Amino acid sequence: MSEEYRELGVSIPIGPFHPALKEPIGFRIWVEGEKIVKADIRFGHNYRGIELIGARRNWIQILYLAERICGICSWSHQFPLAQAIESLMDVRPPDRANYIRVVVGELERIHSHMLWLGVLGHEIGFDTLLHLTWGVREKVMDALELISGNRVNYAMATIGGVRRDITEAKRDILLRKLDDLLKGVETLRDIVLTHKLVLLRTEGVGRYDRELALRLCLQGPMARMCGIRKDVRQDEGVAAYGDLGFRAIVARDVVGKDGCDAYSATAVRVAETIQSINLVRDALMEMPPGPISAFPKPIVALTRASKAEGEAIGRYEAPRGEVIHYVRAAKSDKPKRWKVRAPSLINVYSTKWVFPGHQIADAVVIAAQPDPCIACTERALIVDLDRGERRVVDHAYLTELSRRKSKEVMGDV
Amino acid sequence: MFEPLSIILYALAAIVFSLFFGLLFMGVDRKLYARMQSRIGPPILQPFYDVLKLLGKEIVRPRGASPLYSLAPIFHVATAAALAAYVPFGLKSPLSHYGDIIVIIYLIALAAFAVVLGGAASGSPFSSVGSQRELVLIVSIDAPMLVSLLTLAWLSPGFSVFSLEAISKHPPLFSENPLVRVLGLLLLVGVVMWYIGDIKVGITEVEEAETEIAGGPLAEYSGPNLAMFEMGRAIRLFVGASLIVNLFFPQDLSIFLSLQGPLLEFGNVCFHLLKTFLVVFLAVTFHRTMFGRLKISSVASLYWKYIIPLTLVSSVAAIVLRSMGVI
Amino acid sequence: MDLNQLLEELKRVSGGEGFVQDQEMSKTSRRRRVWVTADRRNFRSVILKLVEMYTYPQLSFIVAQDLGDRLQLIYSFEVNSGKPLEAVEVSVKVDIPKDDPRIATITDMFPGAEVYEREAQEMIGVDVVGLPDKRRLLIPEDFPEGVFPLRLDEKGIPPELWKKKSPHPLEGDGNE
Repeated sequence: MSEEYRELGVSIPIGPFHPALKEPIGFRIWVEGEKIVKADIRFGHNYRGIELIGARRNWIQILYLAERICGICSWSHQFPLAQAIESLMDVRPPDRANYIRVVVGELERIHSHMLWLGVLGHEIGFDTLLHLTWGVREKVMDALELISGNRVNYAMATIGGVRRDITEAKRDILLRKLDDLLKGVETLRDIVLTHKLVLLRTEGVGRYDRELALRLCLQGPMARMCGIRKDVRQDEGVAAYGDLGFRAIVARDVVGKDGCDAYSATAVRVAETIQSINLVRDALMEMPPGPISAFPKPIVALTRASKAEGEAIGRYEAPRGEVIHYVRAAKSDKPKRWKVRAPSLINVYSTKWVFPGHQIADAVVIAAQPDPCIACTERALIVDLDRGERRVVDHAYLTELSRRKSKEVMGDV
Repeated sequence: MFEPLSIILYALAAIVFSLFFGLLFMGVDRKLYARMQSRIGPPILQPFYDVLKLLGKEIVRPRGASPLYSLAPIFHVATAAALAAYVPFGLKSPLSHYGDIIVIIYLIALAAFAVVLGGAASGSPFSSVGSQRELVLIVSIDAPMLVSLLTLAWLSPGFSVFSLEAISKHPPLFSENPLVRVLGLLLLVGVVMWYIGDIKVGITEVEEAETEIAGGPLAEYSGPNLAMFEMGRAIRLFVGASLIVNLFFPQDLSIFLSLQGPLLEFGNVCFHLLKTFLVVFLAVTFHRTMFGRLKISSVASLYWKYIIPLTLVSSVAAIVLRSMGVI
Repeated sequence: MDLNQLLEELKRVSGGEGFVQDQEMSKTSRRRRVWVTADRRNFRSVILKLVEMYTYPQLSFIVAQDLGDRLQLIYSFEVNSGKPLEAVEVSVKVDIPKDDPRIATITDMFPGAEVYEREAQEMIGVDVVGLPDKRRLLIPEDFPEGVFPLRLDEKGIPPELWKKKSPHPLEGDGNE
C-alpha cells in the first residue's frame, strides 16, 4: 500500500480470499463509516501465463488449452480461437456446424447467467434465490452433457466446424428439456424482477452512465444495461446468429429504462436467458442437414493450418461480453503469438470508477455486477467442484455416478 | 439455608434447558430452511456438533486484539444464561422473585453489547465495521422493545409492578376489550421486529453479513470463544421466542385438558416449547427463506420510520385510552 | 463505408501500409477486418481519425508482442458496433524500437485503455508515457524488476528465475 492511500483512513480488503468471492481477486476499499471513498483492484493472484504456454502447443492442442482458460465460459474461449484459426486459413465452416455452434454457445450462456443470478442472490444474503437458480441451472448442465458428454469443458469446437453432431433423437430430448427450462426461468424472472428486496439492494447500485460506459468500452451485459445495443452475435453475426436474425437486448426493452445499475444488469441477463432458450429452439428446428466440419479429420486441419501465415482475430460474445482471440502464424504448427482478451478484464477494472460513494454493503453487489470471471481475466485454470457428498467417495464411485448420470440424461438415445 | 441452593440448581437447570432447546431449534431451523430451498440440509443435531467441535479447538488470538477480546465471549454467554434464568418456560422462572421486566431488557441489551465489545476488541476492519453496524442495530431495535414492554405493563390491570407474570395474567391479544386486542396486535409487531433484529436473521443479518464483511464482529473469533458466542446465540434464540410467547400467548394446557400435578407441569412445558417453536419457525425460518439482507441504512430507516412510530402510537393510545377509562 | 475506402482514409493519415480481410462466415455474415500500420508519432492521429469518423469506436484490446528486432503494439477497435452485421474490426499496428521503448498513452481518449496499457507495460516492457497508474497489474510485486515475461530476448524470463530454489521450501522436498 502506498503512502497516499494510507492517509485515506480505514481500508477493508475484499479479497484475494473473501466469502463474497468465488475466485481470488483483490479489491481494496477505503471507507469513512459505511461510505466508500476509494477503491483499488489488484489482479494476478491466479496468473499462470497461458498465452505463453499456448505458444508451445500446436493448433489442435491449443484449442483444448483455450477451453480450460475458464470453467464457465469454456466454449466462449474455444470458439473464437477456432474462428481465428479459420480466418487464418480462410475456411468457412458448413452451415450445420454453424447451427450446432449456436446451440452450444447459447446453452452455455443460459448456464452462466443462471449461475450469476444465484451468486447475486448469495451476495445479498438471499440464499433461497441461489438454490432455486442453481436448481434450474442443473437442467442446462444436463442438456450440455447430452450433447457433448460433459457438463463443463465440452470440447465441441474444432477447426472448421464442430466435433459432435446433434442427432434427431437428441434433438427431441433437448426440445422437451427446453420447455421445462423455459418454465423455470420465467418463474425466476417474475420473482427476481419484482422482489422487493432485490429491488432495494440492486436499484441505483453500481450506477454507470452511458457516456462513461462508452468511454470505458464496457462489454456485454454491462454495456447493454446502459442501453448500448452492442453484441458480437448481432454486429458480426458469428456462426448462425446472422441467419437466425439475432437482435441484442438492452435494459429498456425489459424494464422500460436504461438504469445502468445492478438492477438493469439483472434484467438484461434474465431476459437474455429467455432469449437464449428461444434461440436454441430456433437453431434446433432450422438446423440444415449436411457435414459438421469442413475437414474430415483434425489432422487435415492441422496440416492446412501449419501452412497458414499472417494474423487473424476471432470474436465471440461470451455470456460476460466480447471475447477476442488474436493469433499470429508463420507457417508453423504453433502460433507465434496468441493473445486472449476476456471481457471481465475491462468490466471488472471499470468498477474502480464506480465504487466511491456507495456503502460497504453495496461493494459486493458492485463486485458481482460484471460477473467477474477471474480465471478468464488472468488466463488461468479453475476447477470448481461444489458437491455436497454425504460419504467418502473414491474415484471409482464418482466414475460410476457419472456414468449413471450420463445414461439417465441420454435416456432412449 | 436450603432455599438459595435449590434456586441455584433450578436456575442451572433452566439454563441447560434453554441451551439445549436453543441449539435444537437452530438445527431444526437449518433443516427446514434447507428443505424449503429444495436442499437436503445438515443433520438436526449439527449445532451441537458445531459447538462441541469448537470447544475442543485451540484459540487463535489476533495480534492487535485487546484484553477485552477474551472477556467478551464470557460476558456474552453469562448474560445470555442469566436471561434464560429470568424468562419462564412453561414453569415459573427460577429468578422471578429477583427482578422484573426492566432486568430482562437490560440483560438483552447487554448480551448484544458483548458482541460489540468483542468485535471492537478484535482489531480487524471487518470486525469494527460489524461492531458499528451492531451498535446501529441495538439503537434501532431496543427502542421499540422498550416502548412495547412498558406499554404492555401499562395495559395490564393493576399496573403496579413491571413483572412478566402480571402481563402474562392478562394477555392483551385475548382481552375482552377489542381496543386492547388491536393495541396488543400492534405491540406484537413491535416485539417480533425486535426479536428479528436481536437474533439477526434475514433482513437484519447486516452485522455478520458473510459476503460483505466476512462475519463481522465474530470474524476473528475461533475455538471455544466462538463456541461461547454460538451458545449465547442459541440461548437468545430460544429465550427471545419464549419471551414473545410469555407476553402474548401465555395460556397453559389447563384450558384444553384437565390435568393435575406434575403431569400438568410437564404438559405445560411441552405446550410452551411448541408455541416457542412456532414463533421461531415464522420469525426465523420462514422469514429468512423469503428475504435476503438489507443494507444497514435501510434497516435503520425501517425501524425508525415504521416500527418505532408504530409502537409509540400504540403506547400513546394506551395512555390516552386508559386515562379516559375506555380500557 | 466501404472497407477499402476506410483503409485508404486511414492510410492517408498514417502514411503506412495496410490490408483488408473480408471473409464469408455463414450465409449472411462476413468477417471484416482492416489492418493498418502506423508510426508511433502519428498513431494517435489515426485513432483520432477513427473517433471522428465513428462516434465511439469500441477499444477491443491492445496486443503487445515481441517481433524479434522490434516490439509491436496492436490497438484494435470495433467500429459500427450496434449495427447488425456491419461491424468492422480496425487494428492499428505500431512498431516500437527496442532501444527506446516509449509510446504515448491513449487513456485520455479511452480511459478504459488503462488496463491494457498496464498489461502491455509489464508484459513486454514498453514505457507508456502519460499512463496515470503505472503499478503492476497481473504479475506479482516481488517479481524481479526489468524482467518481462513475454519478451523473447535477454529481457525475458531468464532460466535462473524458474530454476531458482523456493525461498519457502517445504519439509521433505529436498529443496533446503
